[in-house]
Amino acid sequence: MKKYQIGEFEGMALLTVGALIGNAYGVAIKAEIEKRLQRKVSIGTLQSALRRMEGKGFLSSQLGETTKVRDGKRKRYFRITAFGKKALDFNLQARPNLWKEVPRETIKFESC
Amino acid sequence: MLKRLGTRIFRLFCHSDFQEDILGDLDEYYQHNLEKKGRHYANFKFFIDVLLLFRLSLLRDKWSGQNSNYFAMFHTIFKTAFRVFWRERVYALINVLGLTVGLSASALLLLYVESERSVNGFHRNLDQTYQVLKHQRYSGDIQTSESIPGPLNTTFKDDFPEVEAIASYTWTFRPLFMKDDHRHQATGRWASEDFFKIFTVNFIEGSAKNALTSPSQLYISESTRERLFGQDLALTETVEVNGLGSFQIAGVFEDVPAGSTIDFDFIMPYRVWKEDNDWVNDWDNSGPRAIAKLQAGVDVDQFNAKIEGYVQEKMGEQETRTSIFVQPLKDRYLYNKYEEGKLTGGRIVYIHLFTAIAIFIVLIASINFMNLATARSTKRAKEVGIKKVVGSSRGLLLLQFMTESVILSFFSAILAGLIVMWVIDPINLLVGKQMTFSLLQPDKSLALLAMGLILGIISGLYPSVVLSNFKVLSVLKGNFRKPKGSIGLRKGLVVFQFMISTALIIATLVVQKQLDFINSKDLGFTKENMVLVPVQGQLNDENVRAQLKSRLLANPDFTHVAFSSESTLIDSETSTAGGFSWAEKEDELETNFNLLFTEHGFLDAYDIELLAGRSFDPALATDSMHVLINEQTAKLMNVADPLNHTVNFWGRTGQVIGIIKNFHFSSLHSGIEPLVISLRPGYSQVLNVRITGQNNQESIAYLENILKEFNPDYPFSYSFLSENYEAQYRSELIIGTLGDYFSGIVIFISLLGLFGLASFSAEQRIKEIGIRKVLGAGVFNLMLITTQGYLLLVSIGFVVAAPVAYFFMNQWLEAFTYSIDIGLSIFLIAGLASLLITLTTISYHAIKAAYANPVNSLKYE
Repeated sequence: MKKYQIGEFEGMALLTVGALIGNAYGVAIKAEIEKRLQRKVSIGTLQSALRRMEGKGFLSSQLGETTKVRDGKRKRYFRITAFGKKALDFNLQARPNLWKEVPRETIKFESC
Repeated sequence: MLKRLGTRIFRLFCHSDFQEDILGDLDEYYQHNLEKKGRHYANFKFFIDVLLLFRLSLLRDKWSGQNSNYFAMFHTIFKTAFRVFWRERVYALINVLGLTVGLSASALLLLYVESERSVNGFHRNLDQTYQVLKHQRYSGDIQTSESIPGPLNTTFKDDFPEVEAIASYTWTFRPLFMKDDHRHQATGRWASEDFFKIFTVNFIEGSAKNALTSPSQLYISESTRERLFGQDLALTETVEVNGLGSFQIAGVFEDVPAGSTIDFDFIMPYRVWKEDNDWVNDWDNSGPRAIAKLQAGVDVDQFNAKIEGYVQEKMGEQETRTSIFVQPLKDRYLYNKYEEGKLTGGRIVYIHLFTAIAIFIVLIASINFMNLATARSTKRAKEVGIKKVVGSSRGLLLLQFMTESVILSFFSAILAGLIVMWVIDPINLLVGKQMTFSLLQPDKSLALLAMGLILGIISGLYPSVVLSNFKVLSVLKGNFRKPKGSIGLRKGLVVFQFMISTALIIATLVVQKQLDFINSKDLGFTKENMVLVPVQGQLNDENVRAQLKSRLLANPDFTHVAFSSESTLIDSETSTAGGFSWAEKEDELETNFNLLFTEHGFLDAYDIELLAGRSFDPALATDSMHVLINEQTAKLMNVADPLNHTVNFWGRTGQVIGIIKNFHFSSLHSGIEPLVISLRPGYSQVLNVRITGQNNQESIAYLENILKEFNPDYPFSYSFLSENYEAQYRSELIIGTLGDYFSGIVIFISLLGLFGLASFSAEQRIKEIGIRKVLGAGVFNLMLITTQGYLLLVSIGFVVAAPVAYFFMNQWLEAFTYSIDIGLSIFLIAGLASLLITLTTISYHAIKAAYANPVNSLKYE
């Protein structure tokens, strides 16, 4: 289903936003992904992915309160929308289903 | 700093809705980095992240998105451009090929020019650094040289407040350095105390402080240190210099750059040399060279006027024909030719020539572009018409066509950069330079891209104006005719292209003919199979030389062995004006006699013809008083019978025992000067060995073995006289080789353009040819019709080029006293060649059109 199409990194970001419920803003998401996946994420990659998914309707966002920490600049908190959750479910479901179809022998053979 | 810049850039492109929170994120991350990794990293990271944030989804509305007219417009322009390139790929290819070849050729030429211009550029106080030079007046001639009167070194600074420092130095010499069991022969000079204050060297060990004051101290280059000490430090170590004693190393400097007119691997204290050469204290003798540092802001012309009579002043009563002047060291390399005491150019002429060729090459490539674009403009007339109808302004159309040409030339510039990177090393080998080029060098690659951009704008300008100028009505009604003016201009440009190509063909042929002439010219001696070995070490002993000679002659491969002060190519300044005299010599005769000192057998070894008298005879000890002279000297002596005439030479009175035929001991640039040959074994510097040439390798190996035996300390070195002879014409040879390549390139680019034009016109005239064929025209007739226009243009180009090329090449040949006549044959060959290659290029389309079945071209419509 095309409307649920999510890229690998997008999926990761979407999941992280879900996991960080209530505290999902740029730097936190970046740190979380870097911690879990042990890979570098540039701010550019992350931000553009977030805006893209917001455009597709998977995410919604709102600006937080002004704090002293960031020179008074507000944070933008992201949340998964219902549509986003559906897309995430769809993608997560698709994988185990596909995984089940793979004959065990092939895997063994491959891993040798 | 970087952070502030990054913020500003970010605010510039980012959508205003996103700015606040992303900047906040960036800030937070910046703080994090600041604590963890330091300020530099954090700043750098911030900036990089800003650049990485340049994403379509984050851009401002007017930068991105469907609402933006700019975006849409460029999108369309690019799309159209690539479609046009693809549809007309042959023409796009011709353009790219021409521009790429042209750009890479000119880039190489400009790199060469740049490296020539940068010679001596490494000096720190270049603007204040000068070479001291000398004019010497002889009867009917002024000669300019670097060798100056020795006492200048001590008086110059005191007598002129403008002089901050002056340093004398000598010509190069090659002693043997010994350290433990390391042996190394290095080339260096003696130089006086202030030398390092004027000449910039970077010390690795030691310093310029108090340099060259102690008579037992020595300064060596980095590579000399490596040869003597390996990886070790050398400061305060002692080395043995063969024949001069031991010296302490007081400094090691980085090797003198290749682009220096004064080169050396070591510097020894001048005062030591001066003690052994007291002639240098005499104002009447010249020998050492000198560089000087003048105060900032000194006017050179005024200063030169001031010092013109200086030597005369110092000489007092005694009349002198010597005057000194200074030349900025930065000009020394390029402006090196003085005639009659006036600066007449030198290498700078070639620099101008190469720059001109570089410009011409690019121009020819851009002419191709203009010609093809205007010729094919009819094909795009409808597009222009429609665009205008739907409201496109002229400026936008102009922009569209300019963009197309800039895309092509930009692409070509990048390709050219790759080509230059690829060929730079072979070219370096060819011209003996160390040029570097890489697309990663920002200055050079930016220059290349800028060249591409400018080229694109220049070549795109005219076609864009023509195309965007089309009248909507006439274009769309269908009775559109090509604008008349552009056809005339196109023809003019083709003529111009072929004018330059033919001129270059002629020039190349002249250079080649002159080089052939130089190589085949009867010099008056045999230059082939002559091996030269420096006389040094043990060979300075006359008895050793005699033994060596008999050992060598025992091998049948060696036909002659002779010792002399120089080979037959005399390049030293050993000469005398007053030292050679005879009873009738007039006082006013101030001619310089060149000197050659030989031992027995020299004339035989070189096959030099004896016109009268005899050569030196080993059986006659008195021959050391006598001299041999050449025809030129005999003529100058102006006596009834010069043979057996009594002459005085450097304190020895004897007779002229033989007159030899004139031989060319200097390059063919100058005439044959008077020569005096004297028998003085003590002056021997060169071992001249004539070999049979049958088995060169064995002969050289044998020579090496014998020399190792006689002179074990010195590494064996030798050269062939024929190579040294060619080296005299180094710049001409480079011109010859470069000329071959670059005229080839120019012709190639011109032909590319012609090929494109021919294919286009064949396409346009396909109906005409069909009808002619139906009406009975033969293949030959049709070919004539399609080709004659071009042949005419090429002929006109030739007619314009011939006199221009003749004029310039005659000027070039004037530098030689012995040169060829240009002759008619060169013009015939060049004319025929350009006609022939033109014909070959366009005949493909002509034949194709002539043989095509008229049914195919006529059945439609």
